[in-house]
Amino acid sequence: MNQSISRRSILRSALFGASAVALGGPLLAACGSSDSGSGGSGSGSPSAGSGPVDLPSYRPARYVEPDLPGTADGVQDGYLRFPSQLQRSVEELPTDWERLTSLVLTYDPPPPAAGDNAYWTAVNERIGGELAPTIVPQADYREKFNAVMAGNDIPDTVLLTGDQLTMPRLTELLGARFADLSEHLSGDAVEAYPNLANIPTYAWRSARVNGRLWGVPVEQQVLTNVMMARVDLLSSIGVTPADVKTTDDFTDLCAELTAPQSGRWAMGPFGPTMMLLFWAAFGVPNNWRLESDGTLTKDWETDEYFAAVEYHLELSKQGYFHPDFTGFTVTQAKQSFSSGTTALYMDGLAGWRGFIEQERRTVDEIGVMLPFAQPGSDPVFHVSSGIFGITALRQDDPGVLQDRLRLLDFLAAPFGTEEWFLLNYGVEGVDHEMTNGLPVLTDKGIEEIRTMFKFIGAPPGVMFSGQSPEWVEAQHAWESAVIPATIPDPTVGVYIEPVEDTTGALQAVYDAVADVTAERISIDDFRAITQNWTEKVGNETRERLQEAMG
Amino acid sequence: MRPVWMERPSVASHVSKAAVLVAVCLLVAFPFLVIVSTSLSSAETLDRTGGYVVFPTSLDFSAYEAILSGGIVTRAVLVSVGVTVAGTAVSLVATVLLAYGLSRRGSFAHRTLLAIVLLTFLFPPGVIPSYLVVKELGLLDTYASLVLPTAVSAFNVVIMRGFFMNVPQELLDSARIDGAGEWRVLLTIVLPLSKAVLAVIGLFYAVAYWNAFFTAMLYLNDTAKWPLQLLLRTYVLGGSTLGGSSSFDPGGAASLPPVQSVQMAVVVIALVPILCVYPFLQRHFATGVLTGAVKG
Repeated sequence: MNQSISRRSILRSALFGASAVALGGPLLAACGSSDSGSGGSGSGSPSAGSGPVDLPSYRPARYVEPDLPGTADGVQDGYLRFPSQLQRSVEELPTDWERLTSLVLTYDPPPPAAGDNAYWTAVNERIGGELAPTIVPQADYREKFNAVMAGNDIPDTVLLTGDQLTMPRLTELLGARFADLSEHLSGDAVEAYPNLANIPTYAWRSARVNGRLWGVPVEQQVLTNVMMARVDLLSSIGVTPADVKTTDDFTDLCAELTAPQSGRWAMGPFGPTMMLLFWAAFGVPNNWRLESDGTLTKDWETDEYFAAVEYHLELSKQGYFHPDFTGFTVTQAKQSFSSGTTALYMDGLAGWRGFIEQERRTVDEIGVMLPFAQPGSDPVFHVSSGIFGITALRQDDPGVLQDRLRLLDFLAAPFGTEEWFLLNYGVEGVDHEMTNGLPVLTDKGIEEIRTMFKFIGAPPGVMFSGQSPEWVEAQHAWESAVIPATIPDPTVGVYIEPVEDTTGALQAVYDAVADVTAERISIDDFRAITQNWTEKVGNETRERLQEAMG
Repeated sequence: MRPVWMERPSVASHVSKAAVLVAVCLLVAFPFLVIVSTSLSSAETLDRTGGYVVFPTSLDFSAYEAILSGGIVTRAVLVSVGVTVAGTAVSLVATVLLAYGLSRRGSFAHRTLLAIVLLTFLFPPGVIPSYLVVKELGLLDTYASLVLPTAVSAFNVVIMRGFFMNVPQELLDSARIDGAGEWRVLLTIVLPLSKAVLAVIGLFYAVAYWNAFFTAMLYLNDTAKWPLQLLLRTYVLGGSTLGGSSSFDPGGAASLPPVQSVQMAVVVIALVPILCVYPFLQRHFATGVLTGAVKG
């Protein structure tokens, strides 16, 4: 980093910063500066070349045969026991490197510093260099990212989450700052990195912007938000989650579960983006619906969406929600479910595992609802893009980029490999102890490992729990039942320049969903707000998406 | 007849005042009680009460043990204390010098300098310009980046300048007749008369440095340099237990303290140092904040 100071350099930087702020984002500064990295691979227009490059070939790498095999469309592999023999998946690592800097976010407190962290030291020794992530709290990641881009202070790898991938002038930013990885990863070229080739195709869609590949996905289960159920409470009234097949069944279930005199209600808050099962019940499109004539319809432009909202209102009027549900924090909502004050609860699918492993619950206590539908209809279920984000690489010489991809290949080592074991369990005696053939993380291990390197590179998720093989079976069965009912978002992997004030207009609708479900505004007011979105940004967004989709 | 405010208060008046004061004290103390009690509660107690506890049935220190055991918080406390002490000293020195200069009529370019100081009220620097300046100065990832960009607050300069202007001119003139220079006047006449405003402005700076997390997030890359508030922010906002929202733990791990207890323990840890300092400065507070409130 050039740290020499001059009056001119400060003035120039200040002017870039001021311009970026004035134009509503840091990208002008990020893209306007002339000293953009070192030539090398990837500089130039992201749309260079003819037509989109092929997505990387999918080459599943199973080092241990799963007890419950997954599928390429989103059911994860399930393992009921820990592998007796771990295998080495990465024989050759780069030698001509010292340090890999990264910008990543975290939901956790940071791990101990490098010198006090046996896990970090062990990983560094294994790879022959130093992984040096800059870890930013998730809530602040946007500000840090914008500042780093504006300062042209780009680390070797940068995590781009959905927030960054929908920002204005994304393509210019990628072209100016990040490496075009198409020649390294497209089609069969990815086979040079076997663990990256193990990442399913659905996850790569979002790494292709304007036809070129700009990063390596950090895969995330396509089934994200689910409705969890207190199976024990349902059992007490003679119902199992699988018994609920229609909205009528669900209404009856809520009625039976709700007993205010006993301090129990069917549901807590769902939030504006969490009414997933109601959307499923009424066949609401997954974000956008691609019509037969090639046009797009936004979810809240459909009658089905309003039917789902009205269904929520109807349940609310019946008193099936906790009376304080509109003021609940996430922690309160989870606590209410945990204590049995509410019997149904929306959370990420990972939350199920959290209840089983961290709160020592069983699948007979905590389960997940299957999607249900209106009588006579089939339920649908929304799938996500299948990524947490993509890891983009700073522009550099092709050889350097290949070395960095090999390091990402190491971090993506799958279940059953020595590398995976090291990355997830650290050092025996410090980070984990072997108990009955199972590695059990120590408190020190939990503290040291956290999410250190998982948002730089990670393998596709699998299901395994030394504590609860029953949970693996239950979630595998649930995923197998739900995946066939899923409908995709047709705009995943389609990048457009966002219409001005897209974020504000979207937020207005989300706020309105919260307001209408809390009966603070009428359904007519809500409809007017969605129509305002359509006029303000929706129609223009639709046109741009349709054009991009051809 | 004596005016009404000179009458001896009646018993009823005493009782009603006491009742109001007790009610206000309870209003203030109750949230503290809930915070401390919740931080000391077990998962079972939290389950039973729905998340917030007024009187814990048993004391459970697991949340504090979890936070303080690894050494991360201890290190962050040291960073925060260091930044707060050093930052407050730097800020006070800079503010005193600037305010004193601006308070002396006839000092060099004082009107222009005052206008520039006041301009920062109207046009505070944005995040990105600030980041670019810190980067160009080579201060990224240094403790200095937590102090220098916010070392001088225009508001505090204006307050202190107003106080200095009220120091009788005759005192300063007599000191000068006795041969004192500007430094001696400042150090032996003005500052000893300004203890109240120094205490209050020092408290303002100290609280600001203690609570600052955004500058640390923006300018620091090494988490080992994180101050307490940024670290605590990850506990409070993460909404996850200490094992983390996405930590992979196939083999199981020790049972972790509940999120709510950890969050409340974090609030207690953040509050304690300021609570310790505040009573010693509180007696200066009224004098300090009244400075400049009435222009003579």
